[in-house]
Amino acid sequence: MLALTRKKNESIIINNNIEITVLEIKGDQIKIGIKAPRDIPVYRKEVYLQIQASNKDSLEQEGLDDLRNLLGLKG
Amino acid sequence: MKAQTRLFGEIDIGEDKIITFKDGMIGLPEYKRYTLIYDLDKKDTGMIKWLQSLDDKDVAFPVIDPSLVIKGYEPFLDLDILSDDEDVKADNIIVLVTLTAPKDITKLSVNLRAPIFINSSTLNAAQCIQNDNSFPIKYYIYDIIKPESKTE
Repeated sequence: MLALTRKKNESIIINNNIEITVLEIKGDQIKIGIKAPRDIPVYRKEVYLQIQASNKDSLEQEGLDDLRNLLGLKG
Repeated sequence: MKAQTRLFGEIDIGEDKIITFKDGMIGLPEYKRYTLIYDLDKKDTGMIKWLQSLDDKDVAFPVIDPSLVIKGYEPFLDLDILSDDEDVKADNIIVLVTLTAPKDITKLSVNLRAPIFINSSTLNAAQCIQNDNSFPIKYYIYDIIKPESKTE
């Protein structure tokens, strides 16, 4: 991993079109500003990982036969 | 084109039925081409559709129309996410949510935090995480589906 040291209000540029700025430093919290083209999704990593896990669970379909039976009651 | 599917064997897909996720589904960026399979003849009344990858037969998400399980669900779509489309209209956008059917079927849930948007005119699509954390990742629907089956 590349590590760069930045001060408040300093930025880094990624790939010509993404700018990340340190906006505020307060104790162990840092506020970061991200300027990126709008078609580039930016997510908090912990949320991203939760969605990734949810997608994985969705693919496993362990209870699918039970679900079919449940819905089959309709017919 | 011919495609292998997880549940329906080999099927023939018209080029006009290929859905393109330019960023893939979240956590699966390498799979970009999907199709939507309607499961009408398996006694489940077509409620569940299958978002089937055309690149890997084992990748098939069960998805449903969220309006079947929740009223007034209005996830936000930044139209630029479907940026290859010159003319994106809200009317053209289909919203689907992934379904998770775990071993304990009473824990059946849909993911309202990361809905799937499909532009029905261009078939470009994206799964978008909602910033609004009041949308649950696991929205339990067993009790919503179950009573319906009793009344019919």
